Amino acid sequence: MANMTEISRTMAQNAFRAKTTDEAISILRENAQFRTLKDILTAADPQHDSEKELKKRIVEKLVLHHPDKKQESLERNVRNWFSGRVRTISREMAFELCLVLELSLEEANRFMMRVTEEAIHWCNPEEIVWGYAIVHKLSYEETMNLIAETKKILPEGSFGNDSKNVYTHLVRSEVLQQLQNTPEQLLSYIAENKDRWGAYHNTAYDLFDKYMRLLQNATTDTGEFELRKEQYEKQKKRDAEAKMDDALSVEDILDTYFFRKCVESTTEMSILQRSIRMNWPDESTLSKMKNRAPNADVSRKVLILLFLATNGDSSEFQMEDDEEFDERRTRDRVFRDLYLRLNRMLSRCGFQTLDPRSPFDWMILFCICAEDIWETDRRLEEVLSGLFPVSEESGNEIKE
Amino acid sequence: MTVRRELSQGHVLEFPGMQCHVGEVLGMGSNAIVYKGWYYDRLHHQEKHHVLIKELFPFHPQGLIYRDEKNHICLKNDHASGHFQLHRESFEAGNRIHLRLLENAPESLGANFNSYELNGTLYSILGCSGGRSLEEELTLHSAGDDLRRYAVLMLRLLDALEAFHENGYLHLDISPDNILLIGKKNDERMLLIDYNSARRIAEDETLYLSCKPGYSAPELEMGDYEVICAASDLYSVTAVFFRCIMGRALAIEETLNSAALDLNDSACLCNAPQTVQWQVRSILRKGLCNIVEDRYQTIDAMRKDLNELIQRIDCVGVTHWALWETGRRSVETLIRQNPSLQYIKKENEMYPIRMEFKGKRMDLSLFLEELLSDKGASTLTVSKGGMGKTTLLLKTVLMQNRRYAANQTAAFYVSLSGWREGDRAFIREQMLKHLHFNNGTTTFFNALHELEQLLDRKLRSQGKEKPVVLLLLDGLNEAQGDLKPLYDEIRMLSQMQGVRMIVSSRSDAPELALADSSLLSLSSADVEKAAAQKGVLLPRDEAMLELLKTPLILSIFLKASENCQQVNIQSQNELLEAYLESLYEKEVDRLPENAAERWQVDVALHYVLPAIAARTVKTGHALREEEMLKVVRDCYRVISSPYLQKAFPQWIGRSRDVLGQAENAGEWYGVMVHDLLWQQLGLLIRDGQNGYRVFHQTISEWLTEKHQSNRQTILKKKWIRTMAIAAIASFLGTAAWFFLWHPYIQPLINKLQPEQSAVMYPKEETKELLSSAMNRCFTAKAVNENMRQVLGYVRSDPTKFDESAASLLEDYKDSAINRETNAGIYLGIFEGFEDEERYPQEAIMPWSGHDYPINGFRALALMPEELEEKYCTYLEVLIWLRTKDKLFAVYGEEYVADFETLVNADEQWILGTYAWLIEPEMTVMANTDHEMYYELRKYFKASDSMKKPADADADLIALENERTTALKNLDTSAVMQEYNKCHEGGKPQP
Repeated sequence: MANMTEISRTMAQNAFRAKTTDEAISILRENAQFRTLKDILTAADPQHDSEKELKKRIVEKLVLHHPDKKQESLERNVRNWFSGRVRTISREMAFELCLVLELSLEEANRFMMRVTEEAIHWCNPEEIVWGYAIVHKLSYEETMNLIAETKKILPEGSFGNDSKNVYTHLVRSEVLQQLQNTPEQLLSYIAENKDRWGAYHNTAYDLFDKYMRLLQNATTDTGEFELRKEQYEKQKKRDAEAKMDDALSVEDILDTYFFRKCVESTTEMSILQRSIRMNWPDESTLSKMKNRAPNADVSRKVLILLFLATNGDSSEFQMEDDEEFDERRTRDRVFRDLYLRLNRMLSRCGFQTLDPRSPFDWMILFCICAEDIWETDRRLEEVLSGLFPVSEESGNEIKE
Repeated sequence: MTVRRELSQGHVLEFPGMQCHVGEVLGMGSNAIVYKGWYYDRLHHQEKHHVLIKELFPFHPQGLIYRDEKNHICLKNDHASGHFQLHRESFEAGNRIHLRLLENAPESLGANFNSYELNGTLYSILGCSGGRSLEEELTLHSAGDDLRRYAVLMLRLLDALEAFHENGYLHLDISPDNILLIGKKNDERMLLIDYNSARRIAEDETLYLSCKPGYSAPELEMGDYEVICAASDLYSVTAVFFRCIMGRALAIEETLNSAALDLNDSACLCNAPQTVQWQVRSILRKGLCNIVEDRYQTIDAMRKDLNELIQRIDCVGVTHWALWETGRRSVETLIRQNPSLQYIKKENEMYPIRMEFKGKRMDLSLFLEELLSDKGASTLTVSKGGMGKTTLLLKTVLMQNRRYAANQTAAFYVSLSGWREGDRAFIREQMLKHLHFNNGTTTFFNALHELEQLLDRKLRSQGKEKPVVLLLLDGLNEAQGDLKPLYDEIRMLSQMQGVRMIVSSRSDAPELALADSSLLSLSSADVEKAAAQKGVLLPRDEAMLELLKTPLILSIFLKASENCQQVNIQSQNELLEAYLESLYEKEVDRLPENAAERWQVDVALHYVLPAIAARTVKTGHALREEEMLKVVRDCYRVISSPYLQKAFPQWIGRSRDVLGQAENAGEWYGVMVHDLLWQQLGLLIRDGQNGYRVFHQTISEWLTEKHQSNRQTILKKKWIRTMAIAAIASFLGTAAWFFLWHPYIQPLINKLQPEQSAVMYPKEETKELLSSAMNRCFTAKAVNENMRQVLGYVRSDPTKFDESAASLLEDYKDSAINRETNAGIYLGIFEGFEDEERYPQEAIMPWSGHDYPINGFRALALMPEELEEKYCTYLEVLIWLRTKDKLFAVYGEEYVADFETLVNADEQWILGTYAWLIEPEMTVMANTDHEMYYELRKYFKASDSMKKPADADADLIALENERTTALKNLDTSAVMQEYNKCHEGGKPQP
């Protein structure tokens, strides 16, 4: 829990101390310490203005950026951000706010992580242009023009599918160097390397793919992972062939591991419910992710849920005395191991690490603070069921 | 300028007091560029000092740090300055650490000559060791399969890292490109380079830290600097080990795994024993733990595990894993070598194994679980023959040793049929037999002590305790003789806390005080199911159906019925007969009508196999090769002898077919035993001590009866002939007993006497006997060699002959007075073994199991003196002959040749005596009684000169015949007649 603020540390400790799911649900519902957009914006402001000044500054800039929109409308948006009525903003808006707040590249990266849970994606040409704009402090109009030029070079859908082997961490440093060039040089660079660009997080996709296959090909007796080498080789071959007729379906995975039925919603949701349920995968989303359809990048939430479902193990191999090894660990050690691995995974994929001040993340923290992976599952299911109760008469969710 | 531009080759750096020439770039890291370079020696101006030049030139992602046209390092803005400053501090800190470490451990690091500031940046001049980076080494040689070398390399890496930790520093940037390999093979060592990330242990201040995917510990990657410690370096060392054995760095998903890594793609491990694979996985699992406290905390801890890995690769050590490995391997080998045992690995051919233990009925898994539990105890499984005791034990090894784990009891199988009377440490010796020992274990007693220490420990698993080893002792009833030492050993072992055992026997042994258990018969449903699977009808007779509940009988019944002939049987004997016939039919069916092999199979099944079985039952143990050979040689003689074939009319005129291409008994042995009975028919088993026996004792006993029947038939024929020969022999001289009594009459009489179970001569006393026998042999050999040497001079150096012959003759005459006494002493020793008061029961030799060859030993007792006496006579004649020129010219050559023939025949006789009387005992003794063996060898080192006789097939009788012929030739030679004429009345005549 290094590098946490005091509030974050307190929130994290609350997650550890909560003994029952009722306690956890109670904290989720009543605790005012979850991070809001206001907190993020205020913390990100390099000028450290008061809330009032900051709002004013933001509105002024947004008006300049969007002369076609009404000022009242823009003001209302900003108010909603600061009041907590709105907890999330789009990625494009987040980039725009980076320009508004005149953040440095590093500050912008941190801001993006906080707001959208994902850092600047250096394999995405549009985001490269945003990065360029931030470094050179371009105006919004100049930025939009540059993005438009980029889209001419690389129309949507013309890149992404062939970039499966391109990984952000390998490309990043080279791209950052290009940010020192002129706009023309930057566009030229983007055009020359169009085979490398993708909108997708390949690292995240690789893990997504592995975890999904593991779940789809899991044996019915989940304790029977002791495979002889020849059996293991057969298993690998089956994975590679991916015989879907024998495997679990996507629906099964959603029901069993993503607790789809717990979060099904048809009625109005509270802010907390919306925050947790936001981007919760459904069958269509998972299939699109699997097929790398446009605008269907692997999301952070899906990756976290898959990680918990598989305990982060990408293969079925186990040593004979793995139980023995795990038996020596205390509950604290089990949690720390899972916490470290989960954060490492998120970091490697370019996502925000677990933030105790995010309701979804806090819920995950509470769930992994368990004796073992089965208790984690149980906790997750119970918390979700508690947060999204279904009324007996209508079968509909009850709004909190 | 966005790309880091290096200094060009040939550029000269003008440092104060030194000009350094820049060579090629060796590497470009995030902090610096390293070049090869040199400077000239001050004294020897043409000579170069080759160095490495490290230039501080931090990489900036936006290219804000660059080199201008004047080769100066420039900073574009404040941000760049900050970045540069951070790296500068790191560079300088790394340099300082390098210099401090060099003070305390100069042998562990490369040299650091000096540092300078120039061109707006810093330079360090470092030693050039000529090494190559580990990354380069691994890339060039790819991921080979030399696991041992990688383990040794890791030990060397730990040695290099130790210099840091011992002096209070952490390296924190261990990866293959920062490791230099210097030297080759045994002189190979490692150096760690690039100390920019190095810092003091428990240092709060965090400067620049390199983070390399696949090598950096999680706390470095995640910025959790408070927990950085020695374990962070050891994480990286483990990651380097992974790189070596897998041929690639850790992948992201592998660093996220909670448990063991999948190493199935490693070329190093694909053929490695399970115990080795387990140890590698264990090292990787511990070293790459995400939680710092669960990793290796010290270099010594990791070193210990790597050393154990090397021991496992070398199969060295008296350890749990070694017992697991040898236990598994010995049973796998046993099954693989013996076709008759291969059913044990086929689940669908196995009948259910059910036990009764502590009054409860249970299957094998539950039985083992109970046995190995905290409250479990060793057991004696008593069941009649054919119930599957050996199957139970072998199956247990396969189950228990299926997959290695450090906390699982290892199973070890020992057949007690190999036990010899008096052996006090047989079981432990079997356990140690296949182990290799490390340098500290120099004697058998050391090894025994280490084993006992191991067996006196327990394993801990899931909070419970388990024994280290499950000993499976098979066939207590097959151990022969006074069993007290064996019982003592079993009791001693069963009381050790790390031992649990299953002892199988046909009869109870209350002296062992073990818990009772037994194998249960098959159920009617089991029998019906097995028969249905084979499409065989079961007999209607209730008694037979009951008999078929015995697994062996059922198996034989079904095999006998395999040729689609329903077997109609009323008794076990009929079943066994039918089984044998079905085997015969099955084998000959696939052979052409006139194939010689048909007759070979016939003889193998109906004659040779019963003989082997009978011998096994008589001796009570599996037969060694030489014992088997003896049995087969006897069979060979029968088959080769025309008149004896009349005892088996079905083989009349077929001896050529039966003998096939074999030209002697030895070659025929290979066909009968190895090819047919063992490999093809699977009727013999070769055990772990290379002893042969029939695959089941029940069959052995039945075959013994068949052998008796065969013998009776032969004896009838022999008796008639023997009586006729004896009548003729009564007119021959004293040597008649050698030709007739010994090979025919005496054995005949012996065989007509009721067979009694033999006991063994006491080993100590037999050892003394052998010592005396060896003494006689070597003395005789010395006499023979002296004679040979002197005889050699006749042609080559006659003058020397005269001299040495006279001297030798004098020696012979001097020693004549003691001949009788000497011979008498040994005769007394050897005949003492026939003393009925000392050995009232008929006994056999304790090692070879042979009957005591008294006649051979008698002859041996007299041998040296007899040689001397003979040589004395013939030498005297030769000396006399040499004085008779004319006689010598005519008969000399012939006489010398005859004499040489005698000397050679004597040599063969001596060698044959050693080979037949002494060698069989020594061969077995070498395996079972090391100390006695070495003691005898110590005194008779020249036993190496006792080669086998030239004619391997010739027995003692044949050799004696040769000798007799040679003696006769000399005695009847013209020279001898002349000599005798000249010395009538004992005085020389003119």
